[in-house]
Amino acid sequence: MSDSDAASGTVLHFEVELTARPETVWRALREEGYRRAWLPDQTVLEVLQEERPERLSLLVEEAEPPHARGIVTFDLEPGRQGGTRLRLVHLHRPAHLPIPANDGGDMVMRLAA
Amino acid sequence: MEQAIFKALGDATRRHIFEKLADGPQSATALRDGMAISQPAMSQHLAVLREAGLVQEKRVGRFTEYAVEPQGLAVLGGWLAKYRAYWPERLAGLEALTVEMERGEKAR
Repeated sequence: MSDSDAASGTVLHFEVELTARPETVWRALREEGYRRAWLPDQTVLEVLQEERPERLSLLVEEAEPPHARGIVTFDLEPGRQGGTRLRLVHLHRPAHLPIPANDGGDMVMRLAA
Repeated sequence: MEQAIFKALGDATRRHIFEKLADGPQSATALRDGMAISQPAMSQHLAVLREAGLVQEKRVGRFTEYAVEPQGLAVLGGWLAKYRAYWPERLAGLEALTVEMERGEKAR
């Protein structure tokens, strides 16, 4: 697996190659029983966008304090050798802000170290 | 404090202003350079950033300069540090689970 988290600021990007097919990965993301197994510490409050098996966008809340909220978007496409290329974008989102219809892209922020 | 920070940065114009300040302290006039924004609007955005603890104001002679507040950056950094470590771990778990799911399908 490889990941890239080049962005800094209030959004994080990761990209990984998974061995399983997109349809299997989709189920692991979408079906709560599976999702709890690999993502036990985030509560899904709402499914914001769902385009099986290509894109899933979730409004999540940390199960533990400080219960920070975020929008996690998964983009799936067929990877090499029958696997899945998975891109993950995690956007930090305060509880009281409205949910953007299509935010994320412009949240990338460059900060001086 | 954390909520105020992310609320302040929920606005694209303020993110842009904050980014500019990350390159170094500047006056409000210099900040407006290249931005289609009125002076009162700039003052308002700077006030929001300052209240969120992201930006500090300094008097330099007759001028006021704005700079990034290091503590505000630290809060942003905390979230980043946490999730930079978090996601690779979780995605490794996702890899293991999905491989297992397909193995189970084949066995049936």
